[in-house]
Formats: sequence, C-alpha cells, structure tokens
Amino acid sequence: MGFMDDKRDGLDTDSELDPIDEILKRINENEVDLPGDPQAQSNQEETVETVVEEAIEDAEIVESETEDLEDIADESERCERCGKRRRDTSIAEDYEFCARCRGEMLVTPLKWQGFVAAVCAIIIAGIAVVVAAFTSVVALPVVEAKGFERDNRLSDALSSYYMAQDEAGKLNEQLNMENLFTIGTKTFVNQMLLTAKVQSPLSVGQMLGTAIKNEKSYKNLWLRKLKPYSEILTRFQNTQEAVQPIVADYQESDPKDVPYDELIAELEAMKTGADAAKYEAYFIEYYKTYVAVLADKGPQVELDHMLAVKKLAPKETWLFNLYIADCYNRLEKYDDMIAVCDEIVAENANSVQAYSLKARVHCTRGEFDKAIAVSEQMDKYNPNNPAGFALAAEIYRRKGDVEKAASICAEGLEKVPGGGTELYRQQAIVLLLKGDKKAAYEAANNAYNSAYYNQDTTLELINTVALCASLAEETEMYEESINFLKENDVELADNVVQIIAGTKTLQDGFIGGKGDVL
Amino acid sequence: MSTIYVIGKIITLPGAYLKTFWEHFVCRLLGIPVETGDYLVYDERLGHVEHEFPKTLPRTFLFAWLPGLINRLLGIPMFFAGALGIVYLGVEPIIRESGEKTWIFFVYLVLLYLGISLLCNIFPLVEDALLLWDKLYGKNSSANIVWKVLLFIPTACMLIGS
Repeated sequence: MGFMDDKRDGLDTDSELDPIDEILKRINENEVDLPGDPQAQSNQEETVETVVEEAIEDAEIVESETEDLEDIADESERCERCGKRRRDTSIAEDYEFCARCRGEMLVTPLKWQGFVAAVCAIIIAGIAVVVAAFTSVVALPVVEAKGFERDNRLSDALSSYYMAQDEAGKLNEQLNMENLFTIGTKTFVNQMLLTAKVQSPLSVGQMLGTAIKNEKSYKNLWLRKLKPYSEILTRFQNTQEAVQPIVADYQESDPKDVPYDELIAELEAMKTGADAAKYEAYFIEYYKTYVAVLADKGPQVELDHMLAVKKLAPKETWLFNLYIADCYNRLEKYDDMIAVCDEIVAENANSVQAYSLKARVHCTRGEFDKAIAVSEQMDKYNPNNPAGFALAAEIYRRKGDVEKAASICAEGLEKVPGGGTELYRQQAIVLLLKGDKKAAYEAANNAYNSAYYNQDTTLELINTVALCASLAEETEMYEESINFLKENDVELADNVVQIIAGTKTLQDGFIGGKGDVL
Repeated sequence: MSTIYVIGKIITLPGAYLKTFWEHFVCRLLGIPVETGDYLVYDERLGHVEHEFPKTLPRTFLFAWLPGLINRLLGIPMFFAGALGIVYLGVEPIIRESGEKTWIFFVYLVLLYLGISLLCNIFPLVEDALLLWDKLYGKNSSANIVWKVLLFIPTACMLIGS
C-alpha cells in the first residue's frame, strides 16, 4: 500500500507518490486519532507498522528513481524504453533496457485481434483444404487430359475433358448446388481447341453457337482463341447454303444423270463471284468431291479434289486426311495410304481407323509381322479398346491362326464389358471358321444389337449377319438383313453370296484375299 | 525501395499481420523480449514485431523459421485451392458453356488472395536472417558442423527471401 498523491496537491514529485516526509507526517496524524481500546490499539499499531514499512518501501523506490534520474550523468546509460532507469548491463554490456522494462517486455501480451486473425486463418485454411479437395476431383481429369495431349492421345484427352465435366456435374448434384463447381473457362477453351482437332472446327463452332450468346464474350482473354471457329462455321454455312441449290437436284439421281462438269464449273464460279468473300475456297473444293461422288467419278477424281482441299488448307487435316487415305486404299496405292495413315497417327495416336487401314493393307500384302506391329502400337496407345482386340483378331485370323484369333476375341470380350460391334463381328467370323455356326450366329446377333445401340451399323456388319444367319438357318434374321440392304440400295456382297452358294469356302473368303465379307 | 516494401506489405496485410502475430507468439514461447505489441506500424517494421535478438542458435533459428513456417502451412492450402480454380481451371464468375453464374469463383479469389498474402510473408526480417547466418557461419560461430550442414538450405533460403 502506498500513499498516493491522488489529489495532485502540487508537491511535484514527478510521480504519483508523495515525498517520504509528507507520508510520515500523515502516519503520525493517523496515530493521534486512534481510539482507546488496547486490542484495537494493538491491531492498529500493527497496521500502522505495516503501512509504514510499505510506505518506506515505496519511498525507497521513489528515492531510487529520483536517484537514477539524478545520478545518471551519462544519458547513454539510461534505459532506452522508459528513459528513467539505468540499463541492465548484466544481460550484456550494450544492453539497452533496464531490468524492469526487460521483465515487462518478456510478458508483452499477445493481442486478442491477433488471436482472432489466427483462428480465422486456421479455419479458412481448413475450408481451403476442403475446396481444394473438391476442385481436385474436377481438376484431376484435366491434368490427365493434358498428359494425353502431350502424348498425342487426343481422343483420350477429349474423353478426360468430358470426364471433368461429368465430375463437376456429379459434385454439384451431391452438394445439391447447381452451377457451383465448373471446369472453368480456360479448360472449356482447351476442350474446344482439342475438339477442333479430334472432331472438326465446325463442331466447335456449333457448340459455341449454343454456349456463347454475346459476341462481346470473345473479347475475353481465353475465349478470343475460339473466335476463328465461330467464323469458320459461318463461312461453312454460307458455302453450304450456296452449294445446296446447285447439287440438290442430283442427290437422288443416277450418277449418269449428274452433269459433273457443269456442276464443277458452277462451284468454281463461286470462288470469284460477288459473294466470294463469304465462302471458304477449300469448302467449295470439298463440295467438288461431293459432286464427284454423286457422279460416281471414282476414287482418282475424288482424290484429286481432296488433294486440292489439302493444298488450299493444309492445316485442316480433319477434313481431308482420312478421305485421302481411303481414296489411296481404293486405288490400291498402299504406300501412299500408309504415309497418310502415319501422318494421322502422328497427329492423333488414338486414331483407330488409321491403324486399322494400315494393318489391313499389311495383311493384304501378306506382311503379317508388320500388321501385328501396327496392332501392338494401336494397343499401346489405346489400351483395352475393343477395336484393338478386333484388329488383332482379324490379323491372326487372316494369318490363319484361328485359335489365337478366337482367344483374342474372348479376352477382349472379357476385358471390355459389352465388347463392341466390330469385336463381336470378328468373333462371329472366327467361330464360322471353327465350324460353330450357331455360336457364330449368336456373336453376329450381338454385333447387330451393339450396332443398334452404338449407331455404328456398317455394310460389313449386315453382310456378316446375313452370312451367319444363312449358315445357321436363321431365316428371319437373314431376310431382315437382306431387306436392310435393299432399303439402302445395296446388294449382298459377292463373297457372301458365293459362300452361301458353296462356290467359295469360308477359308477362301476370310483367310485369303481381302479377308472380309466385302 | 522501402516505400515499395511497405506498399507490398500493405497489399498483403492479412499475411503481414499474421506474421507479426506469429513472431510475437514465438517470442513468448522462446522467452524473447518484445519491445512493443503494436502490430500495425506502417514502415519497414510492418509484418514484424520489434524484439530483442535471441541469444542462442536454436532460438535464433526457431524464431526466424517458425513464424514463416506457420504462415506457409496456412497459406499453401489457400493458395493451392485458389490457384487450382482460377489459374489452372480458369474459373470465372460465369460458366461460359451454360451462361450461368457461379459464386465459387469468389471463394477461389479470396483463397488465392489470402494464400498469396500469407506466402508473401514467410521470411524473417533481414537482421534476423543475418544474425542466424552469422551464428551459423560467422567468424565467431561455435555451431556444430552437423547444424551447419543441416540448417544451410533453410538458412540460405531465409536469408535470400528476407
């Protein structure tokens, strides 16, 4: 307890304590006022003693402080913090603070605002972990897609982008929050750029037509990359609209009735006409190929037009590469076809059609080792793809190793649930060669059903089904196949007709030659 | 230069404030006297607490390393989540393929800002880093060779970063 100068009575002690003589004077005054009870007096005396002791202590401190203030001649010896006491040189020779300030500094309280900020930061970090985890579900397929893109597995990359979209949708559904998680604009743009390569720029243009309503959106840093696709679609549509009246009358005509030269001249005139700027020259050239098809001019003319397309727009490989490969195949210019297939595969390692074309050519040439190598390359970049099993089975069958072909079909159907149209078809042919006609028909029927669901019905398939149905004496299915062909103005393939008639063996049809129904 | 430094600190104020708090917190843990508990001083001291130099090597290292480590641990998930959404996926307030709006963009934005803010404040004051370097590799250093080897990379990083 101290005697505080709370009245600020002008004693000017430079502290809140009165000088020692004033304190003692007040104690003496208190002593005079004590009542007569001895016990009380004794207690009072003890209290007074304590008060005196405390007062003396306080006074000593004041004296000490006064002494410090007075005695420290060298200002550099003074505590830098309080400026009153001597520096505590026991800590270090050049220590700047006094012992009391040091004690206070050791227990400087942490600010409550700091605690609040720290707790908030910890909570936000926790939320960030959850957000990152959810976002990773969407981002991981995107990471995978970019990996596939680096390996030129463009179709796989595109599938991964679609998977990312699915994952975002699933998350939103689970969280019952519509439009919360998204693949993001940058990813959307990358997906569109990839779609342009794998499918076509026209597909991208169509998608953008439904997605981007406001033209100003194309000023966006990422979206501006997509603007050319919208323009390509517009020019394609302009070209299509202009071409349509020219070819419309001949689409159902007999090829002999198609005035090929006249139509080509009309199309050529579009390039220099008044609206030439609205059209794309290579689209006009593409339509010339279409006219050549209508006029049944044969693969060489089609090829010439497609090569013209290539010359005009060498980067638009989506438009001409496979067509050119097919033309070379029909012209039996196999080396040229293989070169084009190599280009396609180099651009997209997932291009199953290119591998198949190339492998079949090797089979036709009797180069089975090369065909197997192509099949292995296809399998490497397209693991567990039913088309890979189908191709391998076809190669071994054509090589004469029917058992191996059968085991590949079985393995493929086991690994890929649901198989695939072509894999079932290959299984049907292999089973025919093994003499199991009923099982072959069953496999052909599976292929037929698969094609129905996957919408990948081909002439090869219908001919195979017709053959299996005929040999298994499934009349109803055979007639259905024939009717299907008739509806499409196509006749049963010669190979099939001859095998059914017994003029050709199954081995001749499926092991030698072109090794297929067509 | 110091103006740029202070502007940088003000831009990343949440991280700077937390760094100051963690420095103060670590000072209390290690028994290092702190001159003032004022966290928001708009000069070179912003983002740091005024304190006495720690006396021993372990305390010097821990004082220089721990506050930054805590900021780093808190900042990394925030930065990762924000960057994943905005930088990697390129999320915007509008879902371009559908034209719908999404508020997750703002969550990413806040997380990205806080993450950057925290990660911009992970290094000690240059004096503290120099003191640590001196205690480890100075002329009068009595540090064990094992510590010198083990602490070289973190100390060098802190010195360069600071």
